[in-house]
Amino acid sequence: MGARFVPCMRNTHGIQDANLTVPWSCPNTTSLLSTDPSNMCTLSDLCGFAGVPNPDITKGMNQKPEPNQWFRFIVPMFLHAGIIHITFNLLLQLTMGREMEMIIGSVRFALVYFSSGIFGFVMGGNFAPPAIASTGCSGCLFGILALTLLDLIYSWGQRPKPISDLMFILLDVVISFVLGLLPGLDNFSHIGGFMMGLVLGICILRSPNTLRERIGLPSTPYTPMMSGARTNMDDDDNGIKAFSKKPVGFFKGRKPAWWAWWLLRVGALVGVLVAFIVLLNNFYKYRTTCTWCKHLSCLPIKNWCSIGQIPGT
Amino acid sequence: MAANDYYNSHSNPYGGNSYGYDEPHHYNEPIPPPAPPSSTKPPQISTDVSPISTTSKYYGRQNYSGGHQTLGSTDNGYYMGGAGAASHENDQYADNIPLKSKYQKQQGSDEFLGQNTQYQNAQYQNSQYPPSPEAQRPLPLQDRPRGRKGWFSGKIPWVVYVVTVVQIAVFIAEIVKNGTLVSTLEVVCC
Repeated sequence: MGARFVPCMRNTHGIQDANLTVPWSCPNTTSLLSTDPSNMCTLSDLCGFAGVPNPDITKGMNQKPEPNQWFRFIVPMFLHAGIIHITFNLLLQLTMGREMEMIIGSVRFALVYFSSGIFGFVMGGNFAPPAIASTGCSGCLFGILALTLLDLIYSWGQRPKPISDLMFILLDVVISFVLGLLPGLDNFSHIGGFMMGLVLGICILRSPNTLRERIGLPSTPYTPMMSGARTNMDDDDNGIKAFSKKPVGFFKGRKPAWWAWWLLRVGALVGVLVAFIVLLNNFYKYRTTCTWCKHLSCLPIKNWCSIGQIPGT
Repeated sequence: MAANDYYNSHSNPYGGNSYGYDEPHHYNEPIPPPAPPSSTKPPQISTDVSPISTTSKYYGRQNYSGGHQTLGSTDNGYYMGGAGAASHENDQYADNIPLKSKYQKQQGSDEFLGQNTQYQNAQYQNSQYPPSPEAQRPLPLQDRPRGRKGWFSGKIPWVVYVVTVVQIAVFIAEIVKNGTLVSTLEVVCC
């Protein structure tokens, strides 16, 4: 139904270059036995949608056309694998996500949400074992969690109990990571989402309050939540409106710290773009992988770490 | 309130209507001029300040009633009229210099939400900006509307709601599709 599943997205070692045609589970299978006839479908059957070119084992790894269901980097954000999965994710989304969106506004939130989600899947596509299908919005939520962490750091001095807030966030991260080591949970999308959230957050969140004092910007939150009236003051000196009104004036009289922070933001944005490009290139062209990476998402218990390896590779 | 009486008895020019706390949402006052520069008196963080602090519960929601144009505030540039009544010699000093810089250093920045002891409310003078944007600052973190009543008031987090709805819908579709594929459900419609 659209999960991130690498064999539907490109030629995969072990499939297109296998010695025999790999049988796939049919969508209507109810058996885990690899010998059951309901597990003898073609790749195209499994991938669904408009189908994919079935691997021709005589042609090897470079055969074209390749399976190319690229939307499998995006669609899994909306899929979930079970009631518990969706419940936990939605709980987190409707508490932390809602709060964060009310703080930073819908546009920024949407940007981080979707970018983290997609990046999480791109990471997973690159580094997770190839036959694991991955779904869920936890990559997105990890990105938002990273924003929460950044917001905490930025406003450290103004919080009544910053340490306990930090502990909550760290606890959350640790628990999720440990749970992600269990079979069936994909840590890569968590890790990727978190990293993307951190970097994007630096790019688009407001500057830390300590910095704002030093460079003379108001420390008010993004927009006052409770009031109906808009504050014009902030827009006069900062923000897109001011920039479009007098572009050169926007830059006059700014302190070095302001410039430094903007430089950091630009660097972060560049970093984001580079990361996406590199990983996507790697996924489609270079195919380098790392053999130890799977241990970020599995524990060497029983055969957990061989889940997702294509038989024969 | 005792504090009110105290300041009213000092011919408070604000006319005793400086406590607009019960009307927290009147933000349509024109932005009052910045706190007039206070005199060169040394700051008096003394006991005459603290009685007022008890009256200003919601530092972030104080608003200006009409009579606060001359914030004849002293040393503590009370930007909030409600608390600004601290200065009892306000009549004579029309040019109070806001000592924001001094106070910012002394107290750090407690402009942000969480940090709201009542004592600090009274000391709330470290703002260099016209008061009302900060008057309109959201409540301290712990007072923000949470829970059920906050769901559709104020700013609505559209993205979260839309995405949640989509995810739930897709989940139901997943279950239905799986059900039909393994023949658990019979497709009736469509």
